[in-house]
Amino acid sequence: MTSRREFLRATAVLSSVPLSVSAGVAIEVPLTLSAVVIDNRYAAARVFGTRAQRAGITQRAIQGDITDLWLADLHPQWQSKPAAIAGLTARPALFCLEQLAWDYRMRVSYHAEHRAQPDGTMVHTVHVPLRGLSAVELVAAGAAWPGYAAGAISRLSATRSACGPSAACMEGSVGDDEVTLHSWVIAA
Amino acid sequence: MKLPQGVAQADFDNATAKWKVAVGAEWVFTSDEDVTLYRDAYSPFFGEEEERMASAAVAPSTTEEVQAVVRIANEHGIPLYPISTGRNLGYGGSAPVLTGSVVLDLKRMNRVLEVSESNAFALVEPGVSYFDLHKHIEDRGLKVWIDCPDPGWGSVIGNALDGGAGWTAWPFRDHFGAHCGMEVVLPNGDLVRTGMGAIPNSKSWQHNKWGYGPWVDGLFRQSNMGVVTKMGFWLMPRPQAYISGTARVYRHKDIIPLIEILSLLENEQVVNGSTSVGNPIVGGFGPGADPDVQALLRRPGGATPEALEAIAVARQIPYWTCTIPTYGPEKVVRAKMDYAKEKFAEIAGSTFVETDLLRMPLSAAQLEKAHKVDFGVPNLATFSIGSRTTFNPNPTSGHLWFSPIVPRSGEAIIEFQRFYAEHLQEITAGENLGFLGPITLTNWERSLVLMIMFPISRDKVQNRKIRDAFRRWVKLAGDRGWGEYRTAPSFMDDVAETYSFNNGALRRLHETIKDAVDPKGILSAGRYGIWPRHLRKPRA
Repeated sequence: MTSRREFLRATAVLSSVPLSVSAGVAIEVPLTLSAVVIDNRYAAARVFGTRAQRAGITQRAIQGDITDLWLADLHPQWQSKPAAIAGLTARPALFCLEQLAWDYRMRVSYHAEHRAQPDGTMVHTVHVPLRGLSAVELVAAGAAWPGYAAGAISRLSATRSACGPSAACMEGSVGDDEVTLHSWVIAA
Repeated sequence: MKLPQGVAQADFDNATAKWKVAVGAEWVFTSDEDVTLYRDAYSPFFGEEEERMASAAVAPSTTEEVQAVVRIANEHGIPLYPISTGRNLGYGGSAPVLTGSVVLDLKRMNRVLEVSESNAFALVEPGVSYFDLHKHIEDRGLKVWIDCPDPGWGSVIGNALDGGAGWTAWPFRDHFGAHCGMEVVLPNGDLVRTGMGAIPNSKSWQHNKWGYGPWVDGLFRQSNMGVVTKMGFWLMPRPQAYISGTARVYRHKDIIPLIEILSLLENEQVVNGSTSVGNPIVGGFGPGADPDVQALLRRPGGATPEALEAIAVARQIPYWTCTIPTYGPEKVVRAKMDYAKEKFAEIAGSTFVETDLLRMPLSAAQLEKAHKVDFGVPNLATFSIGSRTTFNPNPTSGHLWFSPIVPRSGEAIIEFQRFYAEHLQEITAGENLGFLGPITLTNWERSLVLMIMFPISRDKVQNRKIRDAFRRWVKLAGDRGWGEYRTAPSFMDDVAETYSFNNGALRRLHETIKDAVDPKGILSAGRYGIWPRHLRKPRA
């Protein structure tokens, strides 16, 4: 036996995969991304955020917990006008944001999982596809996958910058993040 | 989406058309794309034929609209399933018990109607989340606290009606116990206010719980007798100070005097915070646990208390701990902690560690380090702690809680531990199904909850094993007189079966009341094992 608080910490790892696993329609139309959410504890997420920022998308950083992001930014914004967001975070953040987005009839419209292997390679699993961002393409991007993913997602957005999908924009290799990260888009 | 059982498409379509007139077409959801948003993220049947799914959803914004929706449902025999915010994920979330029910989504009813600082109460609608109420109070600088569970996104009313609890002082953390007065739409569309609210123009609706005559509020807790559209709650005045202490004992049987002293302190109203009992000798879930202890635990049959105790005493690792947070005026809580220390010192060999006293309001820096819900601050931090890591390579997709009520004694804890160890092999067939626990919850005064967590994944074979195991634990615990105090929709019938005194007299009473207030059985069929007549299974 252990204390209730320790128990809750341990069971907090057991959060849900998004229900978007069952959806499979790739995003077809441009949409306006109001922000990119990154968990800045992870190097890959920081690279992702930087790339998206260069494409003109506002970056919002969390450290696992989305509470402040929700209360200060997203909730006030979505109450007046729900707007699409994208991100590279750990799974719990995506789970929470997906649940909250459902209240505004928004849902996960792209989702991929990025898992580091013990030998340093990455396994990318696309649960909800995005045109131009397949698992094959992510593997091909190698260590630059976060920038590549951010670039592909940024191209969805009406707020694109002049930095197109060239190798020059896919900068940054990532550090040794143990945590499996999730890239995603939430939109109406 | 599946039609409700026994409902013809024509009736369903007629009802839908009328709902669109009553609430506005944009608030009636019938497309698969919209209705899928009401799936239970933690369903142990996720993706299987038996997964409970809604057929549609209707989202009214006023009590009058709720009445209209309910009347239409009654007219056409359409089962409804009210949800507040639908975020009580460990206990069912937003999916109905009866597949095909139409979700009555009350999220749009999200007004904080009144908060009184001087009388320390709030009156809210069902769509008000803990976040919403906290913001309302903070924006106005009111010196009252809410009490909230770990995730702050849930509904204040919904959590209370589900029998939920929080983290601050008693009686506020008993969410249903802290309520005062309700407004309810009955299944026939009639509108009732309970307690002093039954007197027109009453100004004491949130001042006196009982009113006059039979107290009916309990009919709407964990049930399906009405749709609660307003509810009052007594709030805790912001305390001047908070202090906590932890008693540590080193012998297995010290749990007996430990719980006795804890109970005395609570019953004397010396300690009012959400206490906790820990078992540090077992080492928790993470790396860094004592390797000798881990080796003992891995033995067939696990570790004996005697073997663990030898390590606990030799290395001064506490066998048990008891943490006693307390809120109140500074002078008072300091005196209370001194008294509590004296009482725990009666256990030979025990030690006691006291925290620093904290004065309210906390600074931003203090709050950043604190477990925020202990101070009435809602948040979602509980979800952010874990992810797939090398330590946790296979995170799952949700969980179920088995939470039986156990008598308030150290002997009962020991008995439950033995019960768990005795049956684990049989229930799991020797397989590691990922159970966590049992842990002792002392946050409900006068009783204990011994909680076991069951992981849910997207693996259907694994989920079936988990469901079977859960049902087996419910039955075995019920045979010992330990009943679950709340549960997910998939197990509501199983748990209801354990409350079987006098051949199910309590269920018969529930059904008699149900048949009287909801003869067509349109409201939350099956919730907490209460089925309408036309859907009841024959019993011996």
